[in-house]
Amino acid sequence: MIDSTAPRPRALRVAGVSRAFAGVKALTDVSLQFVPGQVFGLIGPNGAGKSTLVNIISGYDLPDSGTIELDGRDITRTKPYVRSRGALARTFQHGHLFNGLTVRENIVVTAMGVGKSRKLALARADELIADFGLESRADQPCSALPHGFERRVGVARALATDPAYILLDEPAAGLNEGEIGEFAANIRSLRDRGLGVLLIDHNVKLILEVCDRIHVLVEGKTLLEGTPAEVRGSEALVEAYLGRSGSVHR
Amino acid sequence: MSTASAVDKSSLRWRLGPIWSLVSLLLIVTAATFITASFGKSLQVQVQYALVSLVIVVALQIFIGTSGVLSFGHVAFVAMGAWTVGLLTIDPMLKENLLPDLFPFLMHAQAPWVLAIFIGAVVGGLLALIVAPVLMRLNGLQAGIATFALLGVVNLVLTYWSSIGPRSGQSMVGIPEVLDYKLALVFALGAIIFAWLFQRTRPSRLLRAAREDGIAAAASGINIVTQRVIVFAVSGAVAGVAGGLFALTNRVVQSSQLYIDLTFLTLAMLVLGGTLSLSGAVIGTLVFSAIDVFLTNLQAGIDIGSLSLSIPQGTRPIILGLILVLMLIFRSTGLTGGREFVWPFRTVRPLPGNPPTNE
Repeated sequence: MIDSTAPRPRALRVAGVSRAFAGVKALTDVSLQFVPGQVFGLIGPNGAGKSTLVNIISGYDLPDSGTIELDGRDITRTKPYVRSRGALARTFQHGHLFNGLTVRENIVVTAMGVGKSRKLALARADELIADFGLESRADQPCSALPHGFERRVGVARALATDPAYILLDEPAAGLNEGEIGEFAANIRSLRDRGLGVLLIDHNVKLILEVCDRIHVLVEGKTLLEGTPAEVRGSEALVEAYLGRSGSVHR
Repeated sequence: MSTASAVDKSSLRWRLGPIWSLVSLLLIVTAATFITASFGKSLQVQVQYALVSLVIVVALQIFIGTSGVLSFGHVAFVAMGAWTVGLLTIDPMLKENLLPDLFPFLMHAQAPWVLAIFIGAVVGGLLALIVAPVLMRLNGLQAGIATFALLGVVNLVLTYWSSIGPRSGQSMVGIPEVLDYKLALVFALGAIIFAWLFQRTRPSRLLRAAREDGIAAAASGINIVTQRVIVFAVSGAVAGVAGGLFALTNRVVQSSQLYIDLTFLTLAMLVLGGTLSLSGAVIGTLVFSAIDVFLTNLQAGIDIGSLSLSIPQGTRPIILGLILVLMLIFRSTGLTGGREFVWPFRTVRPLPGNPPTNE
């Protein structure tokens, strides 16, 4: 018998997830876990299965086997919009903003989508616009935004759902060094507010800088998992990314 | 600026939006109605039909413009509204003679015409609500075909089920003459105001966002099917009102009048104006109706002084079709380009949204 009064574990847990497309294995028995207040990095070369894993965690794809648990609840077959309302937010590698809407409207609609009243949604939008330095662009359509602003709006919009966990899919792609520095500060701020952050990015330097733990995927399989210091010293990672003579510091 | 005042300011903007677009539309429709009606009784009748079409097109725009999903089925809700108003306003004595197979409760049912229109709206909205949970899961071509199938089924039921209407092939006659073009104008203006207000509700805003990007909508907690069901039912109710107005304008109702011709006519009006804005629905209906009336009169022959102009019978639909094709080729977003029309100052972005990239 299940003890309903027992505290449920606070974690986002991926357990033994496998996925194949037309016989090609994209993920094989991948397991990982991260908790609120932690930045968890997911790295790997192109084709490693990172985006497939993010899609499965956020409900846009189903695994062939394995489960996804959110704070002890099995959400493997839960629809994406339900996960968004249930404390799991995500951003997209290719924007997916509501391009005809302004920055403010993007955030407000998302806050309303998870059940906030219009007044609360507007107030939340003002907070997020200030937090991410979007004041000058707040009433511009997202179709007219420079790339760096697009990325910031993506994260701000995801935070409008008031998530406990957020999946950031390549959030630093296309950003310049200065913007990446600001972005790293934003990510640390999310951790400090108690969010669990899954950060997927090709920028290994950013990952090593901001993550508490790092999971390395290669060809759909877990290569290693550890702290930045452990991963930094891994020859297996260097080999996977750059070949035997390379270095992970770019 | 304090956070509170920033919220109030944006809240006001959010709520009122381009209020001038509404005022402009009301002024344009009112002016067009009275100017055209001043040319005589014949044009007053044609204006009244145009105003009925306007309500249908507004109903279409509420759904198609908000969801980006094509519907060929809205005339089914128009038909339900027309049937309801016909059954509730025809004298029971007349019904016993002309509609002998009616269910007893329909035989004796009576309501004042305004209440009958309201009941017609409820019936149209209810039918939409019943079919929506299935239809609203579909996109693109599948949605178009499924809504067309709904139209076909409703038309068959109304044509052949004599327990709820006339026997096959016959008409529902004896609908009282209570509506004139001025009253039709009141309903048309009411439909525009309703649609404008509805654009600012939660379901409409969420569905417009989902129309822009369905993947992002799911990540924003938006259940697209639920929002579509709500908007479809609301637009079905408005179509039901239009059906009631049609019955009271035509005063003879037959299922064949409420089928494919009316479906394509009203869709053409919406496409001509632009599906994505309420202004598109209004401007499209006015322009299309004006051209239609002109061509109809031209077919009958127009005398200008000693000169007599005419075009062969049957030319009208060809010219209307050509205009629509040219519009789709050269300006697929319609006359308004999907933007709200603010006469005479400027055009503003629809609230919110740009043309959908898919569906």
